[in-house]
Amino acid sequence: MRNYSNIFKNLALLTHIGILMIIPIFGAVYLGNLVDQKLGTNNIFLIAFIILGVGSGFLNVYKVVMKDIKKKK
Amino acid sequence: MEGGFGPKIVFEIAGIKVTETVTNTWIIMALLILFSFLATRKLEQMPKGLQNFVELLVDGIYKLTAQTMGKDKIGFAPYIGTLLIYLVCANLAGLFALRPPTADVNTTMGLALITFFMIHFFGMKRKGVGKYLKGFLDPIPLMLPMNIISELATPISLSFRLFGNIVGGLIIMSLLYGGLAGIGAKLGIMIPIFQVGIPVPLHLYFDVFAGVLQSFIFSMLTMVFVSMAMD
Repeated sequence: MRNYSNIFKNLALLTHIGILMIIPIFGAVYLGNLVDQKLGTNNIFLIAFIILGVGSGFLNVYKVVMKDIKKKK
Repeated sequence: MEGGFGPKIVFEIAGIKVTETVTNTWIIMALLILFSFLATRKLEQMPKGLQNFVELLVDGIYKLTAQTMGKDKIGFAPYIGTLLIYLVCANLAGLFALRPPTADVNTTMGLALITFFMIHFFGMKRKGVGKYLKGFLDPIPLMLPMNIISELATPISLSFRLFGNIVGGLIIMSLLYGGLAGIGAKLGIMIPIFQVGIPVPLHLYFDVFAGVLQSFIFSMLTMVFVSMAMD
C-alpha cells in the first residue's frame, strides 16, 4: 500500500502541474483584455497581465515541486 | 438534442430552476445515505458479508489519508472518504443513464471551493493568520500579485479538470448513441441493435476508467494541498 500511495500521489501531481501552469496565463490574458476594453487602453494591461500570468504559472509549478523535494530530503 | 449538452431543467420552485444536476445529486445522496444506514445497522465483532466490505473501504481510506497527509492529519479521513465515494458514484452515474452531476461546472466548482477554503482555513489555523498571510510576500513583496493569482488557480484547475473529463465523455457518448440510432434508422431496423454492444468499450474508458481516476485525483490533490498548506 505504501508504494502505491506514493505512485498515485505523484501521478495526481503530474496531471495537475500542466494545468496549473496554463490556467494563470489564460486567466491573465482574459483579465488583461477585459481591462483594456473597459479603459480603452492599447494592449498595455494585456501585456502587463501576461507577464504576471506567466510568472505566476512558473511560481505555481516551482512551489509544488520544491515542497515535494523538501519533503523527500 | 436541442439546447446543447447542458443539464435539462426538471422543475421550478419559486422561480429557481432545478436542473438534472441537482436531482441526480439528490438521488446519489439518498442512495449513499441508505447504503450507510444498511451497512452500519447490525455491527458485529466478527465482520461478515457487507460489514467486511465496508470495513475494508473505511480502513483503506484511513490508511490512504495517513500515508498522504501524515498521521497527525488523520482527522481529515471522513471528509476525504465522503468526497471520494461521492465523486466515484457521481462519475459512474453515466452507466445508469443518469447525467453525472460532475458534468456541470457548478458541482465541481463547489467541491473545489470547499478544498480552496480548507487550504486557507487550516493553513491559517496551523501557522497563525499573520505568519500565513506573510507567506504571500515570499520570497520578495513584489511577488504578491503572482502569489495571489497562483492561489486562485488551484480551485479553477481542480474543478475544470474534473468537469472537462466528465463532460467530454458525456458528449462523446451522446454523439455515439445518436449516430448509432441514426444508422439503425437508415437501415430500417426498429430494434436498437447497434446501441447494445458497440458503446461498451467507450463506456469502460470514459465512465469507469476516467471517472474513477479523476475522482481519485481530485481527492488526492485535496489531501496534498491541504497538508502542504499546513506543513
